[in-house]
Amino acid sequence: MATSFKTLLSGDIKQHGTKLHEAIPLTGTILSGTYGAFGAETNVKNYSHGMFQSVYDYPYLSSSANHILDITVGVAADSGLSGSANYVQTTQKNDIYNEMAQMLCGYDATGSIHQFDVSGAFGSNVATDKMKDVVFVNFARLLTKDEIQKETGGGFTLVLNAATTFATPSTTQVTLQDTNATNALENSPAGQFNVLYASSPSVSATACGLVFYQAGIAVISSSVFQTTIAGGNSEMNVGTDTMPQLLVSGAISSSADALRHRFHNVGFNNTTELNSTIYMCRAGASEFNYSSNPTYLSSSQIRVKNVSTDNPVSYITTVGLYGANNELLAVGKLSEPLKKTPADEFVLRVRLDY
Amino acid sequence: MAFLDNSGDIILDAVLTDAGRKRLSAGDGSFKISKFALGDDEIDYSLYTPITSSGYEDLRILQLPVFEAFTNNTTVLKNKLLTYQDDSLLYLPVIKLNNMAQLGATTATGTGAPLGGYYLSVDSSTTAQTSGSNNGGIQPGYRHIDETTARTARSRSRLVFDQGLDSADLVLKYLANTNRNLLETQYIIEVDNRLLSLASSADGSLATPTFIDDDSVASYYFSLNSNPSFFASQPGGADRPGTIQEVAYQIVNDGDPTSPGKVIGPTGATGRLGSRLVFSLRSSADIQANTSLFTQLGSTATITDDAAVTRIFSTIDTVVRVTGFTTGYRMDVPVKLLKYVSTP
Repeated sequence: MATSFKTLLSGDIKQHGTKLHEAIPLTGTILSGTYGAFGAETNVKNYSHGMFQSVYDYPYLSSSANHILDITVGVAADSGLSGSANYVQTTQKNDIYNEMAQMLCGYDATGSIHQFDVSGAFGSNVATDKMKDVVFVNFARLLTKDEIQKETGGGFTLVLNAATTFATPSTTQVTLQDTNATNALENSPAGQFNVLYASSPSVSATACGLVFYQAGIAVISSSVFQTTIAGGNSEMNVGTDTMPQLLVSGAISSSADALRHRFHNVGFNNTTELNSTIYMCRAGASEFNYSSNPTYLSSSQIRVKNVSTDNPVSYITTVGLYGANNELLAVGKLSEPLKKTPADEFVLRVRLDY
Repeated sequence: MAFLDNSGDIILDAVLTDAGRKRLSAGDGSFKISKFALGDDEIDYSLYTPITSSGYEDLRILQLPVFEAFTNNTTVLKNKLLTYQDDSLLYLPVIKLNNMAQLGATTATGTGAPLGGYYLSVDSSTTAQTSGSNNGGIQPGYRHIDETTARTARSRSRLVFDQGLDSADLVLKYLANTNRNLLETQYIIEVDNRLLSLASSADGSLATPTFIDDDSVASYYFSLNSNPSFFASQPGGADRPGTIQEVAYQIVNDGDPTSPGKVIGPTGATGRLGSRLVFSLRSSADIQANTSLFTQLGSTATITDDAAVTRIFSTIDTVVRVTGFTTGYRMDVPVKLLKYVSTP
């Protein structure tokens, strides 16, 4: 009796996990300069609600455009900026801060939202560690995949142009890095995170932000553009506003524009967790040596044989994985035909990724 | 010292078919891979040249490029590799459409005809237009599959498939006696469920599809043991066995009851006869009653019959696919569904 199916035994099916990493280098010119004049880039989308700004890798009206990140800012209700005159979008900036904080920092025992803390200890009461005026960079899932990779010495590197002058921002640069990445902190409800340390001509390894690996979010203190880290107060717009001034008098989109202008590059490796099932399809010596291909026969005679004592030959190009009712559920292809005779045995390891 | 050949272990990535994705998304545990099969769809074995220098006989085959995986479950692995324990087989069985007049039916001819297949009249009006005065009341190349005719004159909607070794080198015998391993006793028939259904030619009862896939392809599974009314005898061999070939249902040859009526073996005295699959086609209620599927899937055609009468029909081209479940051999019968429009 001819058979065309072979049952997979329990030992033929193995589960396997793999972490796949891709390098994501993102240059500042994508955020500002490539697709139009500053402030009028066609790859930057502002919304009527004004809560955040989206950046694409191509003019966003094109179907080829991919969403790469969002930028927004948040100011805590008890920030020193909150009582300022001419405060623009006060409510929205507070709401953004609280939303991000409750997602990334969690709550205390009373249900109050923790504030961002540059030490990573959200429950800490050290007032000087609290980051109350921050910029958020939310990377799209397209870039971060399952998570940003944690690497020895720092896998996430963000370089900001921090010179004082608006027109020539790149003469001084601040590098933010998760230098202690392998010892990621675990006390966030959004998964693992770490402290971003800034280094510049003025400072070395000064905590100034947080990076959340699974959430794909960088939280940057507005202090990176101020004297303590940058060595001077950076002019964030043509009006020479400093970062605190802009957070008060500017809309969220203005602050996002300012960050894009100061964005030199960012680099990290993303991580995709592949769960694979490997099916060991074993073609024994006496199996799969004949074919039902219509060209296999000429007047019922097997073409690859002259006499009955010749070995049968077949050529494998495809492996099909079937359900119990013979329904084809998955297909694997070989790169070239594989010759099969009674003298050959093969194990075709077919991997199905989820 | 050279390196050892480590090419015996091959890793390849698989993709889910549309059916696989559907099962996976159902989340009911129906996605469970339990077996595998190997295929060689891209291979043209006529490129094999056995009489040449060793190592060169399959050079052209091994150079054939291989397609990426199709994800449509019905379009891949059409041709499976087979396991026979006997390495000395020189012949393998085929399945042939029995196109003998009045037993199977003569296949269609002419420009635009489904060559090697049939015109199918889907309603009584079309049947009336394509009936003939002889040949059992039906023109050559036609099958009448409308509800009324298919019930009352079942031979008009009948398709017959003969299985066996179609070689002039073999004297006429039965596979059941000579090589039972090559006898096919289970068949899968696939048709477009929107257009066609299958019925027993013996008693007219409608068959139930085993499953209907997401492309509306209905698969019917018939086995000799469970569905004997879909099998018949192949007459002709001197060693006609009294067991598996002697199924209850015999096809009545309207024209010549003594005709052997076989298509396996190029002459009357050659070939090894296997099983005979017989079923009737039935047009769906949708295409009998209205023309929307003809508008959606088909076109119109002007067809001139044997009596030189020209008529206009709405048409749909499709295939009836028959696959031997164990021997793996598969054949497609092209059919053109006709719905009468007018006589110009």
